[in-house]
Amino acid sequence: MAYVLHPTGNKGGGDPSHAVIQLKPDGTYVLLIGAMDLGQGAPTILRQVAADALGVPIEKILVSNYDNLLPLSVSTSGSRVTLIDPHAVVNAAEDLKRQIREWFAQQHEANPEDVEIEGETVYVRGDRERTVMTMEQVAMGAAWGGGYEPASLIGRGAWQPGKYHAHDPETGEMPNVGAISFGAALAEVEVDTETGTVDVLRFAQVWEVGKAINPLLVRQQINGGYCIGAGFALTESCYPYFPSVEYAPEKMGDYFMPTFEDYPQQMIFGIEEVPHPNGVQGAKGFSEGSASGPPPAIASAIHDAIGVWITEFPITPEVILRALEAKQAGVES
Amino acid sequence: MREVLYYAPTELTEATAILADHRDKAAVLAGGTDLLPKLNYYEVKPHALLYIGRLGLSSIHNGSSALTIGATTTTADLATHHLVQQYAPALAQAARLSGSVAIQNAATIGGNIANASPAADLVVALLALDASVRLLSHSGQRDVHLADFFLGPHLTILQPDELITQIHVPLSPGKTEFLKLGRRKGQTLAVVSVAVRLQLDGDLCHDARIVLGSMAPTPLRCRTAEHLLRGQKITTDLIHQAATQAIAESSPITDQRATAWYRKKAGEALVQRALLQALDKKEVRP
Amino acid sequence: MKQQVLTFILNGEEVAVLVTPTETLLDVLRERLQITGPKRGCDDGECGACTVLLDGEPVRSCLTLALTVEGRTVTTVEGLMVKGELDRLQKAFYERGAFQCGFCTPGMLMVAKSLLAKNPNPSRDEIRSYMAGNLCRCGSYEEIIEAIQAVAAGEY
Repeated sequence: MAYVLHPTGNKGGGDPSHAVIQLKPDGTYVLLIGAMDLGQGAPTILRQVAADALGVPIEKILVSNYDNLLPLSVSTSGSRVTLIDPHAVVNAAEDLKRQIREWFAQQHEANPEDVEIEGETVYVRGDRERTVMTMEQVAMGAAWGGGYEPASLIGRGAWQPGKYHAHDPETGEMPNVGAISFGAALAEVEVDTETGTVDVLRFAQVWEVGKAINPLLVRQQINGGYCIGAGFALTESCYPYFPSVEYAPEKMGDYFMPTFEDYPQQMIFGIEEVPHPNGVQGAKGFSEGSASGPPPAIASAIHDAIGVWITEFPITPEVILRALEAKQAGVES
Repeated sequence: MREVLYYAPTELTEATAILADHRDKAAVLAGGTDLLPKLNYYEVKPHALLYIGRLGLSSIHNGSSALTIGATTTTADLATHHLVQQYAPALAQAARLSGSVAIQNAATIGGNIANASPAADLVVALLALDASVRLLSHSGQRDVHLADFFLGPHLTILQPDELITQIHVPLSPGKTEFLKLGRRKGQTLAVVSVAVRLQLDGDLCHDARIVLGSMAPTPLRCRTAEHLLRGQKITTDLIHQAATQAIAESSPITDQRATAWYRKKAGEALVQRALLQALDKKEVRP
Repeated sequence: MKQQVLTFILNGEEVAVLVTPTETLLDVLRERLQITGPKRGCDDGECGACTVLLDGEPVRSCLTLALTVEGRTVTTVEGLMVKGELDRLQKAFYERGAFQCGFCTPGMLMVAKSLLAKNPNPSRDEIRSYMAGNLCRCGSYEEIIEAIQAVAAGEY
């Protein structure tokens, strides 16, 4: 069994993200944010966050995140996107709504504070019947002008979890302005003590993620993290490689990623939600942590099975046999 | 750019004539699972490609004394064909454990032999079954025991103008087993593989075959270990001795998959296991 | 290099295309026919992303010399849709999140299609064994197994 504390975002602060949301002439929105997707679904959850912040259906939001011309999101790393980027998106949405209120007030000779945006309907409070417009009409008016003043309705937002503070050189302390996600991993293994092979029979992993913005994506990251962690634990080796440095893999066939058959007979996953004060709707990142649980969980299950603590990865069959031999030699001496 | 010629003859005489013309400048292509990676990575640059998939060599027949398997029979066919399952279950098992489904659908028995990898799965089983190969050239044909076929890693006695056309697996009684260890469970090359065949007369061992894969420059028949079993009463002790002897005959190398130390250590356990499990297998009766 | 005409059935339609002798089926599909469903992962037969059905059986298109498919039938992920309707497996993969980055998906779908054609109700172990030649670095194996089982159970 293993317990994982996974820091999400830069603990010392700094590390901002930026977002832009543009209202298009047809009343849809484009979210521009340089949050690279590696398959983890960043554009999906940011689209969800934008839809919530603007109070519109998700279909109204298009995300563009594949270009270095886009607003900076620093990087897809450190499980930071889910913690940080939603703030930038929410800020951009608020900025856009402020601009919409100002433009709308100008057209109807009203105060911006009196302009009400209810999802895709805009009106002046107290004068709804005369002033009400759909967002599509607002967008069209602002974009094409005509009887209205043209305006570039483009919201901008930036956010970082506090200013950067270096750690104290004396104590190593630093302010924790990010968030920490918590995971537990449980492995059941069978070890063949003659050949050294390890079979992970069942594996369970539970993560506390603040708020699962998209539970299917959270589930994929938990189960996917198993594969990456289990490969690291049992089969995959990078420098100095296995069994030693001169045996670098030459082709893909020399590098041993887990296959379907290496996958456990039973996989159990769980999601716990305790909203985090630093996250939008309490959400925080966790994904890389799901690859951190399997190696120690598998190693401790191996210890439970054969009574030897293995302290190197990958735990190849050879590592197991050598550990068993050393144990035997210790008993005999 | 250099021209590469492609031939897909439908007659054996045509195929052997093409080979005679091009000699070692031609690459013989069957399933492509060994040749294509080399072509894709420019490790071989043949002048001609001779595709032998249209020669009608993909068949399995039951003769009076042997199974005759066409050279381009796929691994998938070997794994599932009733004659192979009935008369050569170790070969079916080796086929089932070799590569992935998509590889098994393309890879051929002739290719597995001609490629002469020390880690070839089918060859290990075929050696335990005393198989022989039929080699055809424009000037004639010869039958060669598989045990005399390999010279080293990817080296064989096959001449540049010769083609493997058939594999003969003698129908003989015995209990067999094929086991394989890889670095992972799915789609894996052998770190060590073993095929055994025991011909029993009551509890006496009349004859034995112990063959190791990935444990020497070629798939290896462990003749001294086999001799230990021959004419003896089979006991757990004797099996342990035979396994130790088999490993003593091997000369594995260290590579990305395992060290020589591991191959010997796990190989010994695997040979023991194969012999013990073979005893519990249903006897093949021709 | 001299080109030759290759004729085969691709996703139900006969195609004729000029190819050179050393081109693989994957080369021809992606670069000459713009059939980009099959992915080039390793060019070594290891990853499974290029898997297509040849006469109904999964093979690696990166290890299949193009000219050897003369007169034969090739199905790629592009051929799974019928009359604009996603195949049941495609629906199940999509709804159950049986992929993350999606690179392996075209190969996964073809092998799963072949599995269900042979074995309409495969067990978890049978799925694991049959699909073992297709790698997923995102580790979506669990969701893929469930999607296949859901199709087998008639949920799609």
